[in-house]
Amino acid sequence: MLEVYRNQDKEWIERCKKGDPRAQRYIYDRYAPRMFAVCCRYLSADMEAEDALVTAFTKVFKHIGQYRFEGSFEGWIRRIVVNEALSMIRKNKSVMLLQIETHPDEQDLTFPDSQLEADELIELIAALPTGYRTVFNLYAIEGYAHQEIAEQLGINENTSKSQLSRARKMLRDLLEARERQLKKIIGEDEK
Amino acid sequence: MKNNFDRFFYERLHKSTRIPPDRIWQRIEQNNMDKKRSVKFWRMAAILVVGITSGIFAFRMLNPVQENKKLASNSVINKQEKNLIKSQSATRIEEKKSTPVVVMRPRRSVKPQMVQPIQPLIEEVVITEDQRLITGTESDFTVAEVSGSLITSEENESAVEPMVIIYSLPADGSATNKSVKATAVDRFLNFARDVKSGDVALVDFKTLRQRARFNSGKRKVNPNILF
Repeated sequence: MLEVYRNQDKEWIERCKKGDPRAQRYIYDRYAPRMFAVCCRYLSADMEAEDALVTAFTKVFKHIGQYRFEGSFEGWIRRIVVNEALSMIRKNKSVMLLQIETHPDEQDLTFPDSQLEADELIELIAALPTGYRTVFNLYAIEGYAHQEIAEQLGINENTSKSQLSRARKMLRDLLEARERQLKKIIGEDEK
Repeated sequence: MKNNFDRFFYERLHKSTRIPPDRIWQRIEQNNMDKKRSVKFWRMAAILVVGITSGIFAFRMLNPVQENKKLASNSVINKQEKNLIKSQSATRIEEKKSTPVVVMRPRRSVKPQMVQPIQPLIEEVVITEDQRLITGTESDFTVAEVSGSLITSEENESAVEPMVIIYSLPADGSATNKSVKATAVDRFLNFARDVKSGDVALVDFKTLRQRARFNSGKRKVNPNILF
C-alpha cells in the first residue's frame, strides 16, 4: 500500500517538475495540512504561519527539480517549511534566547497522562516564549541534536539545552493547569 | 535522546494536521504565475540576445568571401592610389629634370630668336616669374624656376625680326626659393642697369600689354606675358 502511494507520488512529482498546475495542486492538497501544522507550531501568529507556508510552497515548486527521490518527499518539504519558519522568526527578531547556566536536561519529567488533542497541544506550545518554542520544536518534534540547533539558530549549544529544559518545565506546568481545568469542567458536568 | 515527555509531544504532534485556509493556495498560484512570467520574460530576452549574437557570428562566418573581397578591394584601391601618387610624383620629378629651363613660347606672330648682342630694336623687357610651376604644389615651390624674357613688340614685327632674350635660372633642385629669387633679382638689376646705360631700349609697358590683349581678342592675358 505504501509502495503504491510512493509510486503515485513519484508520478505527480515528475509532472510537477514539468510545471503541471494540476500536479502542483495535488502536492499542495496532500502536504499542506501537515506543513501548516508545522508552521503553527513555530509561529504563534496565524498570519505569520500563513506567510511562511506560502513562501515555503512557492520555494517547493520552484526547486522541485532539485529533488532526486533520495529520502522521503515529505521530509524534503518539511525541511523547507521549517527553514522558512526559522527565517521568519529571525526576521521578526523575536527570538530571545537567554543563557542559563543550569540545565536540568537529564531529569526525566513525569509522563503527562493527558487526553489533550493535537490542536490543544499546539495552543500550549504557542503560549511558550519564542526561544523556548523554537528549541523545543526542533529538538522534541523534528529530532535535531543540540549542536544542529545551535548552528541553525546561531547560539551556544548550552543555550539550546537550557532553553529546552525551560520549555519542558513551562509546558508541563501549562499541561497540568489545562488538565486541572478539564477535570473541573468534567466534574461539574457529572454533578 | 528523547525522554517520555518529548515522546508524548512527538507522537501527538509529528503527524498532526491543520487545514489551511483557501487563500493560501491562491497566493501560491499568484506567486507561481508571477515567477513564470518573469522567467518567460528573461528567457525571451536571453534567446533574443543569443540569437542576434549567433546570427551576426554566423553571417560573418558564412560570408568570409565578401569580407575578403572588401579587404582585397580596399587594399587594391590603396595600392592603386599609392602607385598613382608615386607615378605622379615620378613624372613631376622627371618633368622638372627634363625641363630645367622654362622657355616661354612666343605668340605665332612673334618668332623668337636667340640673339647674341642686345640691339637697339629691342623695345620692351618683361621679366616674369612662372607662377604656374610655383603654384603646382607647395613642395614644387623649392624648384621654382624664374625666367625673364625679353619680348619684342608687335609693331616692329614687320620691320625687324623680333627677338626674345630669355633670362632663365637653372632649375636646380637644391636651389631654394630664396636663392632663386635672389639670383633673379640680381639679373633683373643687371638688366635694369643695362637699360639705364642705354644699351637696351625700353618701350611703354602699358601700351604693350593693351596691344597684346587686343590682338589675342580675349580679356585674358597672353600666357607668354606673365605678370
